[in-house]
Amino acid sequence: MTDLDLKQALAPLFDDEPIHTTAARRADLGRRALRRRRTSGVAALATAVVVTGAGLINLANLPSTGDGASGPATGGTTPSASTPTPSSLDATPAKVLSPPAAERFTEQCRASESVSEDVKRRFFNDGGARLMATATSRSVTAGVYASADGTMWGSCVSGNAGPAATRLAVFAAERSRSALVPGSSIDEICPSESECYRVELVANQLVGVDAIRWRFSESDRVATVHTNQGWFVLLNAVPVSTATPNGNMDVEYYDASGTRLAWANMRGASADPGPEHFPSLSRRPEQSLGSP
Amino acid sequence: MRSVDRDAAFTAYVVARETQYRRLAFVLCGDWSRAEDLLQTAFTKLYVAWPRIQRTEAEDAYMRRILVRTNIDDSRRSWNRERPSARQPDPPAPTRDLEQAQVVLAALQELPEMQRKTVALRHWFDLSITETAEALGIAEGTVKAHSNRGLNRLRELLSAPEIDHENDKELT
Repeated sequence: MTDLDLKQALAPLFDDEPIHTTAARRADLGRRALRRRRTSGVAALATAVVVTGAGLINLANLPSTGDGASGPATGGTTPSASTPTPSSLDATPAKVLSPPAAERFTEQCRASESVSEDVKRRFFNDGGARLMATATSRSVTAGVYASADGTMWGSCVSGNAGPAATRLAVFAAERSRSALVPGSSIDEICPSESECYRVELVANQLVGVDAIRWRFSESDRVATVHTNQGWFVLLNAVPVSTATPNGNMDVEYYDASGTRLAWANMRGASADPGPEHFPSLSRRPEQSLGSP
Repeated sequence: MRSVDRDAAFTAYVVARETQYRRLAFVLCGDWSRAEDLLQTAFTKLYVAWPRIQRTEAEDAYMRRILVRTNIDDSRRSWNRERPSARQPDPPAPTRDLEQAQVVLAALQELPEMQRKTVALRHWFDLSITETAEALGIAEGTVKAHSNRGLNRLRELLSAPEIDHENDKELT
């Protein structure tokens, strides 16, 4: 297939495009987003990462990360790229939300307007959703929830200064075997016109995985957390001016003994078992529940 | 930058570029509704960052970057979704060309994410390898690899035996 073939082949699809949003409406939505960000109290957004699951991993239990050619502890495969280097962030003391803080966070999430009232009722009231893991920076808190029957899950991000920027998302619990690694989301937050931060969030559940090590693509930072029954949240916020998008997608899964189960990066993935043996929960729109 | 100036410049940019980027979003995700979500998310981010982005004349690079990277998590932006209802277009009468286009689009959506994005940016949107690498945040060599694999896979998918429904016959 040549370039011309692809363009010509797809051309008939554009003969009847749906009506689109007006430019004025787009500008209006932009203004609203700008107001939300300016009022979300993120001026003091931390550049450091604080990650919490059930607690930070004991690095002594992990295989050495200084020799990428040594291969995983499970043997059989060798990474084709260098293994992520642990950062000082790995040693940050565990910091779990206190019950009152968890309650306040959940109240903010329940007040979010990003999900319909009906879905929030089904998820929190009928579904008995529980906060499974959280991550907190100085100005942003993120959490992941699971319904009691396991059919729904959700993630929530909230500015610590107030509920203005809280965004909740609820999904039907379906796992994707095609995605090699749990998808991350990237948001840009601008407290002022001259000050912007990039916030990357990974929130998911990996059954059978006791710890996960992740290299944030926007900053090249590495974070490692224990999971809570597979649930984990990783949060990273850096000034846009210092963020260096490099597309790294290094991720490693570990069991309770610190043995690496699987890994994936931009150049490849472990083969036996591969990350696809630990399918993550899908965040695709098809699984999204109840936007208002 | 005054709000009025910002709005005027932003609106002019939207008018000039939105068709191009809506179609790119559609090719990336294969669905007009999701494409609109993606596009509005990208335009909203662009508006927020407008003074900084415009100073460096990086509007197009920023839009491409946001479009291809937002694709991984556009579901969280559903609160932004536009639901145009003023006109419900009649479905176009299926033509041979349209049917073939839908087959190609479906095949494109079957590609792994990075292959699909690379093929779309390189071979539909006509970006250079350097521009594609910048948009996706990956090395140029990785772009070449994804592009080659993606095109090869696309050829395989499209060369699968075609079913001729008009001549369907039960074989006994």
